[in-house]
Amino acid sequence: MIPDFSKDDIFVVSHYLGKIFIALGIAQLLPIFVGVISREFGAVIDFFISIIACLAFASILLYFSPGKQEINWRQGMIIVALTWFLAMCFSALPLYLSGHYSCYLDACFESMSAYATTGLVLVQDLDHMSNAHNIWRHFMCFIGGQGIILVALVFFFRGSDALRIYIGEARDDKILPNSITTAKFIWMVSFTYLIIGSLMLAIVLLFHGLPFSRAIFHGLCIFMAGWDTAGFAPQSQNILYYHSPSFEIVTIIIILLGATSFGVHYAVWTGKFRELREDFEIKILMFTIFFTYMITLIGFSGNIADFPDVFSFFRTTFYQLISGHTGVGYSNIYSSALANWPELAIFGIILAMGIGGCMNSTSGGIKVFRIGLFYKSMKREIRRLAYPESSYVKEFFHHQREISIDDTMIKNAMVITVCYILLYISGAVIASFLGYGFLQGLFESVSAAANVGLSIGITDPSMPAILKIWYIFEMWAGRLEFFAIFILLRFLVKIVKR
Amino acid sequence: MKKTLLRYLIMLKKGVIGISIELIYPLIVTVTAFFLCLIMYISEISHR
Amino acid sequence: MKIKIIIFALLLLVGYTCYGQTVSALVNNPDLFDGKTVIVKGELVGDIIEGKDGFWVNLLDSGVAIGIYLPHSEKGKIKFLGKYDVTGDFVKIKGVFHKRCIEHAGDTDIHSVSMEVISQGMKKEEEIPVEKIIFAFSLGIVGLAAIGILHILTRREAPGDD
Repeated sequence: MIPDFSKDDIFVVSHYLGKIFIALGIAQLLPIFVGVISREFGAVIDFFISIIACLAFASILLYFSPGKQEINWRQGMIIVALTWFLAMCFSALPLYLSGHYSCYLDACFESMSAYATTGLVLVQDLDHMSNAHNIWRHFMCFIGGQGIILVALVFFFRGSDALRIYIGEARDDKILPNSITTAKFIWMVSFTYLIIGSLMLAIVLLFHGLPFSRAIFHGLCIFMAGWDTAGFAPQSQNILYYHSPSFEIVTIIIILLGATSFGVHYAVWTGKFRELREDFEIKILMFTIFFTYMITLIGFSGNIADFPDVFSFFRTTFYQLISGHTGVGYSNIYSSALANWPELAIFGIILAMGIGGCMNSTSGGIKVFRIGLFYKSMKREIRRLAYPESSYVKEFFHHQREISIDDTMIKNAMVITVCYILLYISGAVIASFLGYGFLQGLFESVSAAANVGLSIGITDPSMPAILKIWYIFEMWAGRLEFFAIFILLRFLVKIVKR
Repeated sequence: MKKTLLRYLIMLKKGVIGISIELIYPLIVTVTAFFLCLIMYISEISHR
Repeated sequence: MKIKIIIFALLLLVGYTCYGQTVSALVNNPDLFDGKTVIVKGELVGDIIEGKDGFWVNLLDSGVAIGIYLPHSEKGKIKFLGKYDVTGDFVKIKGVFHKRCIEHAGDTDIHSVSMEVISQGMKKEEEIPVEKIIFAFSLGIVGLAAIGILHILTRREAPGDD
C-alpha cells in the first residue's frame, strides 16, 4: 500500500512552519521602525506583543520538531496552506489591537485580504489609523503578493525543498532553472520597481503640495499595494482621496506591470524586447482587456450623456476596468456609484475580474494563460475534426519559447478554471441567500475569489459573519489555486479519522 | 553582499532599456483604450 | 412603493434647503443633489492637495469622506487635519455638490462657497491603556524567557541542526 499521512508529516510541517514564523516575526520590525519614527508608541506596543507571539509560536513548533528533513510535494502543499491560514491569524493581532476593527474576525478578514492581495477592507475610521499599522497593512500586501513562502525562501531553504513549497503558492513558471535564483530575480524586479514606482508616485504628490514625508509614505503604500495588485490605500477614500488624474495614470502603469508575468519581465530585462509583443499571455491579456472594456462601454450606451465629457467617461470606466482586470481593486469612485452602473457594464467588470492577470504575476483570478489555453485547445479540436482522420494536429503558443500544447496541460488548466467558476458562483449563491441581489453577490464574490478587491457595497463591518468567513475562504483558495487547500483538508480529515 | 550588489547593478545596467520600454507599454494600452472610448462617446453623442 | 420613494425624495429635497446633509446621503443619492447647494459638517482629514486654482481637502462625516474644493484664500483657516494623533478642524461647508464634476474630470465633489470653522482641532496626547503596557511588559519577559529556554532545549536535542 502507498503510505498515506504519517507522523513524519506533522514533524516536517511544523519544523518549516516554525521557520516561516520566525521570518514573520522579523517582518514586523518594519512597522515598529515606522512607529518609532512617527512617535506612535501605542502602535509600537501592539507590534511588540505580536512579535513575541509569533516568535513564541515558532519556538514551540521548532522545539517539537527540531530535525531537518527532506520534504515531499504533499508536505510542501500542506505547509503552504497552513502558513497562509496561520499567518492570517497572527498578523491580525496587531490590527485588532489598534482598535480599528469591530471584532477579531474583521481583523482576520483584513489580513487575509492583504496577504491574498485582494483589497476588500473592513477597517473603520482608516483616516485616523497610525502610520505603523498602515504600513503593516500595505507591507502584508507586499509579502503576500510576492508569496509569504517566497519571502522566507530566500533566507531559509535550499534546493529541492524550496521548489516543492514554491509550487504550492501558485508560482510554477520556471523563469530560471533554480527556484532560489528565480525567487531572487522576482525580488530584484520588485525591489527595482519599488524604488521607481514609489518615486514616481511621490513626485506626483509633491507636485500636489504634499510635504515630503507624507508624499514618500503615500507613494510607498500605494506602490506596495498596487504592484502586488492588492488595492489597499492609506485613506478611506482609496484613490479618490488624491483627486488627481495624473496620479491615477501612474497607478495604471504600476498595476499593469504588476499583472505582467515575471517571465516577461525577465525576458525584457535581458534584452528580448520583442517578448512584450510576442508573448502569448500578453497578447491574450490585451485582447481580454479590450474585449471586456468593449462590453463595459456598450453597457453604458444610452447613459453616456450622463457624463460631462469624454475624459470623465474614460476615467471612470477604464480605471475600474483595468483595476478589476489586473486584480488590484483600486477605485476612483464610491462603491455606491459602482452599484448604480448599468447591469451590462457591471457584468463587463465581473468578466474582467474573473479572468485576471498573467500566470506568474501577482494578480489573481483564472489568469489569462488558462483562457488562452482554452482558446488554443478549441482551435486544435476544430482543426482535428476538419482535417482527415490520419493527420496529427499540433498547436503551439509562444511563452518564452514555442510550446506545443498537450492534453495534460489542458486538463490541469480546465480543472482549475472550473474550480474558480464554482467558487465564484458559490459566493454569489450564499450572498443571495442572505438577501443581497444576485448580480451584486456575484460581483463581490468574484472580487474576493479572484483577489481583486473592488466592492459594490456588500463588504462592510456589519455584513453577516458567515459571509465574512466565506469570503476569507474564497480569498485563501483563490490565491493558492485550490490544490494546496484540498490537500490540507484531506490531511486534516485523515488526522481526525485516526 | 558586495558581490550581490555588483551583480544587481550589472543586471540593472543591462535592463535600463527594458525598464523604460516596460514603463511605456501601459501608456500605449491606456491611449488605445481611450480611442476606443472616444469612438463610443462620439457615436452616442452624434446620434442624439 | 413608488409613492414612498417620491415622498422620501421630496422630503430630502425640502430638507436640503433647511438643514445640512450628511455626506453618506450625498454619496448614496447623488442624482438628487447633483448641482445643488448643500451644507455639510464634518472633520477635515488627511492632507491638503493642491489643484489648479484651488486646493482639495477631504471632509469626513460619520465614516464617509468626500473631497471639498476650496479657493486658495481659505487655506489660512485650516489649522489641523485629522490623522492618528490629531483631531482635525470641525467645519461647516456650504457649497455646490457635483455628481460628476465637469472641471475635475468626473470627480464626485463639493465646490465650497463658504467655509466656517465650528471648532478647531487639536493634537491629542497618545493614550495607551496602562493594562496594555503591563500586559506587553509581562508578555515580553515571559515570552522571551520561554523562547530562550526552548531554543536552548532545541539545540541540545538536535546538535547538528543549523
